[in-house]
Amino acid sequence: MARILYVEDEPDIRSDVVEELVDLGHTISAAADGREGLQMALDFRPDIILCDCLMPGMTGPEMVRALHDGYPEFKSVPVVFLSAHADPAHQEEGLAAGARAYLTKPVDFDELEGVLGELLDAAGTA
Amino acid sequence: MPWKHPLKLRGIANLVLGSLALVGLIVVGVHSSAVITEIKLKDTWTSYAEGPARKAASLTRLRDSVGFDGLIHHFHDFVLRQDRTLIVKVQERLLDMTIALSFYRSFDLSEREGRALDKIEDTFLQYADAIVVAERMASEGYAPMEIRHATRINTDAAVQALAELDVELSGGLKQSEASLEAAIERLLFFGISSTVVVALLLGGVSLVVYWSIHRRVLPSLGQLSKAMKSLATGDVQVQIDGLARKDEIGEMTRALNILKLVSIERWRVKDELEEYRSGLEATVRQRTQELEEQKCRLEEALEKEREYNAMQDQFVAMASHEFRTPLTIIDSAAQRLERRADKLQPGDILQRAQKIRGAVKRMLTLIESVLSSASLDAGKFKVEVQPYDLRALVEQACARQRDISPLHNIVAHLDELPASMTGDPSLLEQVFTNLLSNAVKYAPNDPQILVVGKVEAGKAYVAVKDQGVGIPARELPKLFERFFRASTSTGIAGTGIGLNLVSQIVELHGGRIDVESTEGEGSTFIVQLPVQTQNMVSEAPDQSDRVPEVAPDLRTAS
Repeated sequence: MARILYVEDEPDIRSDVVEELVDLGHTISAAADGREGLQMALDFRPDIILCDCLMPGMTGPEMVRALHDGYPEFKSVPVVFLSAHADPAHQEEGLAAGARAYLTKPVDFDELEGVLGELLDAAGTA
Repeated sequence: MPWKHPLKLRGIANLVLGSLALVGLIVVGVHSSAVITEIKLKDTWTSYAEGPARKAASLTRLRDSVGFDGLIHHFHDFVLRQDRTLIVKVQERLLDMTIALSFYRSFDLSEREGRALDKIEDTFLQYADAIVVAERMASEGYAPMEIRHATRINTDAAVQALAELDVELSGGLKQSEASLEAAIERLLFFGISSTVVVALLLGGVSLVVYWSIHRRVLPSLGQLSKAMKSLATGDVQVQIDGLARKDEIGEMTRALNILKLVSIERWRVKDELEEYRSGLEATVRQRTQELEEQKCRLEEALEKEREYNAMQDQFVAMASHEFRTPLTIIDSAAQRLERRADKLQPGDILQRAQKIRGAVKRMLTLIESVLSSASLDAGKFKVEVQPYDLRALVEQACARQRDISPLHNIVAHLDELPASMTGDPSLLEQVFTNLLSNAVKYAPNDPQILVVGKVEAGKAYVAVKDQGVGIPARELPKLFERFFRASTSTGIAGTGIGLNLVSQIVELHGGRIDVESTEGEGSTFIVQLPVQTQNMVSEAPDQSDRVPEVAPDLRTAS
């Protein structure tokens, strides 16, 4: 199983997703916004980062850019965005920031499981 | 001055013509006199040639050897020699001389000449008789001496008459010559005198004409030409003298004066046109400026429209986001229930149910605010006026927000607020719910939120103060526009309709909303509502009419 960093400012969403990921057997670290997520990434050293986009203080794409710019070794860590922004412009912005996948809310847990599994397989960490 | 009246040019021309005519007449007269004189001269000459001269010729024939003397001589020869052939000669002479005499007689004769010719003719008659007598006596054999004696003729009278004729003739000749000379002299006199007179007249006329032109015409023409030049160069105020002159120059001057008046008029018209043109240019400039301003206004309107469209696009995206968030909460909870039903404890299930209900409420609020906004837009906003308790209303809103945001510390001081007001409590609830949820939303890391109620000068004030991201000062005027979101809201979900809805609801209640904010330090929204019962306005008032008022300092209350 993998170490997953989950960044989400909405606590009611965060709690359910975290529970689901734990139930899937992953080790989870959760942050409430971009700044916290950035710090946590450095401490937690995740295999994969699951991240909301629209967050106060520092958005998801901002966080990923900051991480990649400051710590290039994180470029190999797959990033998945999980956002309520469903429009193509936001998707493009997320992928351009360096994400491997962009999932829109409401998220289907099976789909989430599939995407995470694929990325972990590709990374050989599964 | 020889001219008491102004000389007309026509007069000068007439004078010249008259003088020329006079000169012509004189020339014709002189010529005629000369012709007459010449005729007289010819007559004189003729009378001289045909009178005395012919007379003289006749006289010579009477007198020369073949003449009278010849007659005497031949008659003597005939008498002495009795030669009959001589008789023929004598008769020839006699005939010849009689013809000469007759010839002489054909001219005008004086009395003395007449008498002399009579005497000569008488002698001729005696000779004619003597020839007859001498022939008869010769044939009868008389001796020549006897014949001579018998035919003796005294010729003295004839000789004397001839001498008299001589004298007479020479006198006539002299007279004729004198008259001839006189005629020639007269002719010369006429010629010279007429030439002199003509020359003098011509000179005089020339002088008069020259004087007239020089004194009367040239200076005036000079003045006229000067005035014309001035007029031509645009000096329409040029002085034109001599308008009263009664000749052609006067007429020209008056015509020039008319031209001057016309020019003045023309310049005036030109000035007017110039003025009109500059006025027109000014109008065109003004119109252009107006058009430019209109264009600017249009561009501003377009820019506003673009901004509004951009805000609307942002709203659509954000509205979608805002709906998806509670939906995600619901869906996540539902999936958890579905997937892990076997593992979940009753407490977990209850928690999920509460989360789902909270999310549904959130969605409902969202839907209501969107619908309210749409109703406001369509002018179909329903206001249900009734008595309500403002203090309780704000307290309830605070309590709900505390439930939603347990991490924030919402402190409320509402004791001063009146319990009895009139208005639409459901709408006013939206106002405070919105303000409180904003205070929480835009201060994610600063949990202190202060709510203060006060009454002053018949107005109730409710201030909601946070210590959040704040709003840039330049964006404050736009803050209550629909869909507008401050630049400091980056990363914070929101549709941009909440504050617009709030301000319109407050204004519908005859109140107003003000905001004070410092970027990075937080914002204070102050709702002002009239305490007295007010007639409700059923439509949204024009926001631009808002008059800023100093709100009582609510920030110090704690």
